[in-house]
Amino acid sequence: MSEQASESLDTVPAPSPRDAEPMTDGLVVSGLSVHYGGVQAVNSISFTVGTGQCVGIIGANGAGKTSTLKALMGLVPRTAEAIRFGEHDLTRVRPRNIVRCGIGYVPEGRHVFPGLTVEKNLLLGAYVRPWRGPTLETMTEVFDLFPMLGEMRHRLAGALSGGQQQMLSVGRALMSRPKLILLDEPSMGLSPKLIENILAVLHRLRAAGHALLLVEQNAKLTFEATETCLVIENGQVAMTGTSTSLRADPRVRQIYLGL
Amino acid sequence: MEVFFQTLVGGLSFGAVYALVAMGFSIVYRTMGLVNFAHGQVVMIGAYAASTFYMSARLPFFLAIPVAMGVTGLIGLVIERVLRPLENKDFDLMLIGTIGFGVVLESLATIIWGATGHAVPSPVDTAPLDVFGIRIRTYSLVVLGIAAVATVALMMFLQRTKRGVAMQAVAMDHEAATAVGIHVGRSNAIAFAIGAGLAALAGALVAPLLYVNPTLGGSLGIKGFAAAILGGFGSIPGAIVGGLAIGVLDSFAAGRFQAYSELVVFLVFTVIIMIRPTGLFGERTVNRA
Amino acid sequence: MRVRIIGVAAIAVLAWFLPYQLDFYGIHVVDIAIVFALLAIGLGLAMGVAGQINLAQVAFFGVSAYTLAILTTNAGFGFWTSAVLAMLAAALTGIFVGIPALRMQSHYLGIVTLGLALAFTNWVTNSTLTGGADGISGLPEMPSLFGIDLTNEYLYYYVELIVFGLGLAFALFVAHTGLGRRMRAMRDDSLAAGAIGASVPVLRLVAFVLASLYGGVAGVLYAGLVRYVAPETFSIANMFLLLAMVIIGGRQSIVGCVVGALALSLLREALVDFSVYAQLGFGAAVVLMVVFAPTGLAGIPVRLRRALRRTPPIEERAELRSFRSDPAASDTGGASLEISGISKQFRGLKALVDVSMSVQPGEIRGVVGPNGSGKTTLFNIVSGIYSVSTGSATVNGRVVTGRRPYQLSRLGIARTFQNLRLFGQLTVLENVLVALDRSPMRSVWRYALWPVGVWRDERALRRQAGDLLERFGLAEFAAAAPRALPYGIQRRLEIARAMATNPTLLLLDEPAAGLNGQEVGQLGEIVRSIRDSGVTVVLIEHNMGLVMSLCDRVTVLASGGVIAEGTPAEVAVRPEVIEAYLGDSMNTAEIAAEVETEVLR
Repeated sequence: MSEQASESLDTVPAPSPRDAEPMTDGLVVSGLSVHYGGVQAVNSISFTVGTGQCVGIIGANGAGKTSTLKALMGLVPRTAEAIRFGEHDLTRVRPRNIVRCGIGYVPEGRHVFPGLTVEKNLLLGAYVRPWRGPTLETMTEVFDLFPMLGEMRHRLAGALSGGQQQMLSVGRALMSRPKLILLDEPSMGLSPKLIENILAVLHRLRAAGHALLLVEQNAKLTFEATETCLVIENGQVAMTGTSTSLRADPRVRQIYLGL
Repeated sequence: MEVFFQTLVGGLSFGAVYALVAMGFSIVYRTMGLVNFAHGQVVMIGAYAASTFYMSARLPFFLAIPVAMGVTGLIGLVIERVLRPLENKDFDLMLIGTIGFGVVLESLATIIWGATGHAVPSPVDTAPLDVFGIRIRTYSLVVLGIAAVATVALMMFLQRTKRGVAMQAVAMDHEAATAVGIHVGRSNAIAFAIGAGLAALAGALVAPLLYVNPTLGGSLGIKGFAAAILGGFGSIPGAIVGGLAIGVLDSFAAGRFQAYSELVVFLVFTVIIMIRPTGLFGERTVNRA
Repeated sequence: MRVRIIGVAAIAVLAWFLPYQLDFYGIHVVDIAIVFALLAIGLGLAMGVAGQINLAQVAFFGVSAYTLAILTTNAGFGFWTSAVLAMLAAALTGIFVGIPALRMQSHYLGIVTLGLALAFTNWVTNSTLTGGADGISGLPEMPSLFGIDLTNEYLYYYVELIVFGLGLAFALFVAHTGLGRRMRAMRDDSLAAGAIGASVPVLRLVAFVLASLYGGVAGVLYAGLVRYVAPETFSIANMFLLLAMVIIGGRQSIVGCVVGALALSLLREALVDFSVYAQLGFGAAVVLMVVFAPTGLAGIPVRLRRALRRTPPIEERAELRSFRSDPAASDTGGASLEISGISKQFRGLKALVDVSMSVQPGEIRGVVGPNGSGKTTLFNIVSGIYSVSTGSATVNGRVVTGRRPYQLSRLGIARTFQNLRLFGQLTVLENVLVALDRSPMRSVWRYALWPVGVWRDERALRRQAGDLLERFGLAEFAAAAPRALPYGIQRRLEIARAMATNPTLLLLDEPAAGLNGQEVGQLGEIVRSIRDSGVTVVLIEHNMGLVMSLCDRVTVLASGGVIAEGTPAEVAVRPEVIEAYLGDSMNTAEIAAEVETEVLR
């Protein structure tokens, strides 16, 4: 799979050409907080993801990573000074319309639609587009990226293995031709070999020009897939830096192992 | 032998009606997790609406049905809108709320159409068919045919149309459905309207077989509900099998135990559901801590 | 309190003199209303207190009334003998209808109970024994009781009033002591109720039996009053009317149910010429109530008080006191836990694969691992919520796998839950009380025969609960609703509740989740003190700082299997552990040095 990663970059569904528009700065988040039931899951965090940039958020379980992504999608109650994506003010966009702004979401635990076929899962990813020509081309591109999905296109998603479901979840997000993809712990519950596959996929998405926001517990995977990283602890940003510098920094391990 | 087959066909045609009622329950339950105890009363309103358009407004029977479906579809939308604040919050309260709606619909029917009810003439007046010496009511076959067409149409809608697939997606994972851009609230409302429309179809078809009165909804609703549970709540094939099973059981119980058929049907239902609480096609849910 | 006594006395006096104000028809209406009030109490106990959807209450009513009618007319039994047998018949029906509740809940239970009620009306309408649709008329007159002529409806009223008063008092007594508290706990969260030792199946049956007994009393009073029974009295329409009474009055309040029943009975009588419109109104009222006032009329005073209150509620005024360790440290040393070769599959998904571990008495054991590694599944198996696919677990040498949660609670296993499972509609004090109450279910007989004993135990429990809350620094919150409290306090309450069951093995599932740094420190102290008082503690935790400083030994799970076990310092340097957490195994030597300095500090 990692060999495959270097070949044929053109088969990856590229972001839709609209991003030639004048706006730019990608995703800008400032002062984002999430509370629920008396717990402050995320406490005033700020970061940006530039166009075509790859940013990682790492931290131990319960640090507030998933809550951050859900807050961006509007799926949990949040407060923020600003969440902007290009010309869109995301604090004013309803959750169901986030995808229409060009953001794809790969939820934690995959959340494929288990009782529907692989093909229908992918088509639903393109719910905001008409299910005709260009969408079917995108589907072909997804099948090129994940040949396994093509082979199993008529199987029920619930019958796939964990790794296959993860690929499907990524494929579904690609179907809307997003400019930015939010990925929530794609490595969860996968074997080291499958994690290698995920890494290869992330490299290809990046090479194709997608901006990525990757939330992970697996620091190694994140450092290899991204340029910049945030380390969060108890809902706050504990460290930021380039992935290369963080990789060598022993403090990351201290935060993880609670030393 | 002849009696056996006549009972069977009679049971199947009632069973087809129960299956339509059960499908209405199931489609609402699948998308919203709401059990609509007023569903039987919606069936009754559908029966009244269709028979009124057919007999008083002199609409052809097969045109009266879609009009009645429209009427109940609107009622379904109202029920969904009123109970929406309770969605995903308190299951038992929602259930009681729908019982309240059932009482409201029943008393409205009494106010509009009176307490006595009326008989509906059969829309097809040909003589009974004679198949290998067994006489079968033509209308029984009409009921079976229409129910089959409606079932196929519903399946096609759910499997082949974008809206139908999206509706199934909402039922499976509403958060993921929101993330891909589906308007969950609208999808639920449409599901409710379809369920209520199916109820009207069932009511219209059963009207010439029974005497239409305001309490018709009670027993039809409960048998349809029993059919849905028997087949496995939320499963469309389950609703069909459950409906036909309850219809046939009912029909044979009526032949064997006369007036006690209802008693027998519910006792048998209770025993089956005790042995297999998830029904015939239901999924076993895991209770998570 | 004094206001309440004066109020009750005033109502009693009014009720006593009421007949002097009423004509013959008026007293009949009141007599019928009291019958409905008794039915509503029974329904309130089942639905409001125990959370069991019961749409067969009219069937209990009917079984009793018909039994009385048949025994007195056909079989020639005396009235009082028949009355006792009628109650017995109703109670047996209650058990029969309650059995499905052991297997199903919510809407399934609703349809089954409704179906059985329909089956009952179907039977009485068609059987010759019950007189078919005409019913049974000409029941013998009720014999005089202590020289009081009960054929006089005015005097009958006083009999009803006394029976009703006793019935109401008993229902309130049940609802506010151990049995009712367990039922309310089960209603709020049946899983957590099982985990603190409430035998959920028995409680469900008891709820149905109580409902049916009230139905039975109502049936006897009704048949004695009207001396005529017919199917339409026990129809589904009346069941829904009864439901409307309970919902409009407030299903969780016994007094609310009574108010709803009396109000709707009288209203129905006043609107007898517009009965369809009355029905329409009741239906609409039920819909509006569930959407806007789910606690019914009974809940309105509380809502008003909350809206008008000037002083902030307890939960804002009170402060969390520090935890005091138990002076009477026991030397039992806690239980040992032995897990051998446990595997668990969910529909093909392997959650646990051949997991073995051994926890010594008095140990604090940490269980750590990435998300989805099977930690909570392991807890659910040890606490009886899941069964195992293969393998077994023993606590102090006794096999615990394959037993129900409430049995394990009685064997000394207590647990907390990852997402907090407090009983939301019970107060803080009641949350602890329900766990402190270790009386076995078979002692419910005392409610019928020796209520004084129940009352004495109740007072002893309240003393113990006060001590326990004091020890956990929660005494000031005793009357608060748990959900209104800050998260950290809720977490501590859940530990207090688990400790109230007097366990020898305590399982804590992510006790530090959502706590701030100071609270985590306090948690560490509490857990150590719990261990010192003779309890073995196993905790799942992601806060590695806490695990490192607190645990004697740590077990690391990944992908459903044990990948490492040892002291925190040993485990933290194992490459496979670091890989599981961080995804790589570089620079382990560097970490080893850090861990050592940490442990020495």
